[in-house]
Amino acid sequence: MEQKKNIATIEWTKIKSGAIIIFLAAVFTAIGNTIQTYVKSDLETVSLLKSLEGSLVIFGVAMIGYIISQMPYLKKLSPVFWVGIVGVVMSTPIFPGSDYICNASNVIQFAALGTPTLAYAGLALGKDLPMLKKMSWRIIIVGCAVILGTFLLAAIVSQITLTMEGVI
Amino acid sequence: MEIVKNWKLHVLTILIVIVSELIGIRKIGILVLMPILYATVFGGIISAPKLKILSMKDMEHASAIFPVALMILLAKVGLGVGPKLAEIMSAKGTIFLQMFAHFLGTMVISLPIAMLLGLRRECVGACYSLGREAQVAIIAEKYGISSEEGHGVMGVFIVGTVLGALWTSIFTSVIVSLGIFHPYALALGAGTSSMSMSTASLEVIRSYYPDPTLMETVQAYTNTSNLLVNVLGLYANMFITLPLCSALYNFFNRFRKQGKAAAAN
Repeated sequence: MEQKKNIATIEWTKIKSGAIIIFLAAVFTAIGNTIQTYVKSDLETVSLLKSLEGSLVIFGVAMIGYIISQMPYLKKLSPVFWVGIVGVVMSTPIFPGSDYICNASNVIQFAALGTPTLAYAGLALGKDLPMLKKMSWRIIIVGCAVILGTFLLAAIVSQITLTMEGVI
Repeated sequence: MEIVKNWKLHVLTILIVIVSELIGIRKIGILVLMPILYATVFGGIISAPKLKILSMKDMEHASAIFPVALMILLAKVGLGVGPKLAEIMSAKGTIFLQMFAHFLGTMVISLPIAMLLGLRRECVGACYSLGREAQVAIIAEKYGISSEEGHGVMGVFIVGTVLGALWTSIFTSVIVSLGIFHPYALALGAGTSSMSMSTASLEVIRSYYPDPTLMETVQAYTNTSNLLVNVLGLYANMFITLPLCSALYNFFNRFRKQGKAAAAN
């Protein structure tokens, strides 16, 4: 069962361990990113140093959001909310230094960011396999239907409204 | 802090990253296989209890690290939105509408299927959302994780984690190659999934539309829609889709019972 959060305190240990985890994910991303630009023929190669710079900028943005999300009362909203918002604010043209932030972080391929995260998710999977087996094939079909339905309905509605608005 | 000091996990992760990226993106027919997929699969293989490489505790640590490591992806999603804000606002109505489409989309196909397959209250947990970490937490709080609803949401969570990226790239490939949808509409469809699934969709769309300026806008659409869904999703799921899905289940379940009773007569 989930413990009730005390919303009036700062979660220092969570911030500390969060900083280490996000930092490691950033470094792994930089390594993966550089490899990716060498492997993919249509990408300009990016040196490891340049990748590190980019991923450390992203790390900084993520950390600001993460720290905010552990502050008293602010932590009622999820870290997902805060990190996303901080990213948007720091990359809008009116934010001081947004040019540098955007240019530096642009060298990081979006796909390269997912690899380390998904590796962690994968390493947690072994324990869930028996449970998935027990749920049997039905939940697999239902799960796939959930994902497909979401994509399809959103794409259909978007196609209609974008056409009506004259964007496409 | 004990979680962070599990160096075995970090070493395995960096090895997985290096190998996955070295393999790179491979196209097999309409199927696009990506490093994030290899990373999940390699992780799954390494952590299989039979191999005894990772203990139960290691795996619990990995699942605790995962949502935190995800922050770096979320930051990049946010960073992609700012510079494109003005451009995206011109499609404001669409983005908000497709967000509601997302919230209904999770159950529109899946709820009837789940009920036809004979699932009970598992349907509610399974179909009310995309079933990612935050949505698992909502169910855990309301019904408890070992309830029928809890089994449903955990099932979809695991399916999404294991098969999400693969399944998304398969059906995105099919949908893109049909040519019915404009890339912008596809981008908004892609954005409504979880991060890994969005990334998978986006990569497929990119392989069909390599034009970098077009892709920049497509990515911005995906990011905004993804951000909106992630930001507002938690609350929409809590206050709208969960009660709605539960009510729909109860409504249709009455017919199922009547059907059974009629069949018995």
